[in-house]
Amino acid sequence: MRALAAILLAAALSGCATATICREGPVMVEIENSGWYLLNFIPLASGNPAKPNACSCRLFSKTVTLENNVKMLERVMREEKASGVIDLNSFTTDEHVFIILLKRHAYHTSAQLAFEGAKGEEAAQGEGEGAAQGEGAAQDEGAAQGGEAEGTK
Amino acid sequence: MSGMKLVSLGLLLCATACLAGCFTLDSADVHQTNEEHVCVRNYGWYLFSLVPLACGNASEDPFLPWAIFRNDVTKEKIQKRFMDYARFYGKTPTDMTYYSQESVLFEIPGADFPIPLPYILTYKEVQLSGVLK
Repeated sequence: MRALAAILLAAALSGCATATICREGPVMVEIENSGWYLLNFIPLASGNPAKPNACSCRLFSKTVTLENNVKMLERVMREEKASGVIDLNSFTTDEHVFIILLKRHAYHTSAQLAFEGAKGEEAAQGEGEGAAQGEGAAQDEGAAQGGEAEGTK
Repeated sequence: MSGMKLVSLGLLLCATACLAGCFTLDSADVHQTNEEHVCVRNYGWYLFSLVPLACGNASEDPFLPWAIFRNDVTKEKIQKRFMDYARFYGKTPTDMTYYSQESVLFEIPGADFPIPLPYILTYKEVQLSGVLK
């Protein structure tokens, strides 16, 4: 029972890296990485930017950085075959527990993906479903699933 | 002074230093588009929402990381540092977005109970996000 409680506590206190893609209209990406710090500076656990949307965290390393968020965004751009980004912006949030004993630090980055030639949403739907199914069916599936956020932890 | 008091005083000073304010300028390259993403952030504490107590030092060459009794949590100072950075690297800023936060009910961080009278001690934070092309 104690071991289970310890595992649950560790899971709750570990960081989390997520990359959320929303295809309702323009393709929007939201990247978030968070981590816990002891006495404001010592990193305890933070999300693993190499494995977003997975139950994976990095211990004693500072991964909550703008650079890691941009790396995750670049990976999403490669996967979605985007040519660029529009309205790229980021911000950070801090929460404290017992003054400075524990701090949760999170970095949020969001952007709209830009595609060359075709409109963003059409390109993303065509590439996402066109390969697996017939092209006519892919259009319908894409419209039905369009509002779902992908890969949210 | 007893050892316990010294430890308590040290911890109090550490906590004050950690929470007093911090100016940060983060940047990261977006290799696929040859752009640079920059985030500038500063925060600090104010008495009666007007008198600056302590905040991050937004000067270019700060002697201390904090500015005492000086208001550096302003959009002008944040944007000046952003524009200086852009000019230094000869880049053009785009996609500039502000994120501001103000808490007028003082709450000891992590304590979850605010002083019931607002505007005695207020917290202000300004962040500027932008892209350099």
